[in-house]
Amino acid sequence: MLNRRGQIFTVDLILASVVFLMILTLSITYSMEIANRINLLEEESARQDAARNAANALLFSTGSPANWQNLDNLSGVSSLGLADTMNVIDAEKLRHLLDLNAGYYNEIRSLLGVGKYGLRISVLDLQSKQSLADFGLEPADDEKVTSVNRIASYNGAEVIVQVRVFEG
Amino acid sequence: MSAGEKGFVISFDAMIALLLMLVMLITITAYLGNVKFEANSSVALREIAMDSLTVLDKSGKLENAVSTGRVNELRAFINKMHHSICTDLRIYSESDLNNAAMTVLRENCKKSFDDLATVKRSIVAQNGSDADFYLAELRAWYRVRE
Repeated sequence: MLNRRGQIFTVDLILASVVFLMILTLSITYSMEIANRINLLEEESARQDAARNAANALLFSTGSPANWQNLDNLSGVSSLGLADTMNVIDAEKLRHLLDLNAGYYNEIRSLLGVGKYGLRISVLDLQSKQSLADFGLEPADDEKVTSVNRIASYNGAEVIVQVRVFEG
Repeated sequence: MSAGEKGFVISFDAMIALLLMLVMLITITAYLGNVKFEANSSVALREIAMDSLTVLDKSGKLENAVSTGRVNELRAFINKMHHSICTDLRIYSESDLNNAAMTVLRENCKKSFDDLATVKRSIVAQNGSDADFYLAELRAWYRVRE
């Protein structure tokens, strides 16, 4: 028995290799799935933060300078805000923001800290949810969109200020 | 076991190890599947409560309510909010912070919640030449499906 030569590729070894490869494949697939999921969560979290910060800036701040709505362009503007006072939208500021939509979309995104995302700001009636004003681009159906809704007062009526940021 | 008998590679130890690994994988999968943005929904709820109370204050509806003793405007505002949001608005007089002088609970809302946001705001109501102080407390939670 001791003089017999053994074979490396016995059935046992092949079986062990198959099991090992299965576990290895499963582990790699699994790691990739986890990494993908974490990546999606981080992207969503970053968009949430960006949308929330933009909404806070719009509702809580008058902008800097506070009379930015009277300026011809945004060259001297360091921050944007729509507030007359906290949670009360200044109609003049909102109208000027809408006027700037065509020519200053990118600058406004940057001023609100969402330069790397697409941006849509909507003012909706609180009860009917009908749109009273819209700024920015409408996201495509297949875009990853994050939305933040805030309640405010505009022209004496209660409204929802909806800030949507999306990839693209 | 004699020397001539064949052994199994997949021994009892190996089977236990495989079983443990599978259990770990399933546990991790189940855990990751349940990861949600709980923190964000809590923040959103708190923002809604804070915004609502601020808007009610800025619009003078809180002051009107304590001046007239009527909660119609407050109820109308609360009913305009998204149906998934439940609120309980209470106004306390400074002389009695234990018993609410006024309460507006949104209709069809049961006080059953996993997450509750509570915000408070002081109100000053003119009463002739005097000023009366009140405390408004708004509790908000997500409506539980029945």
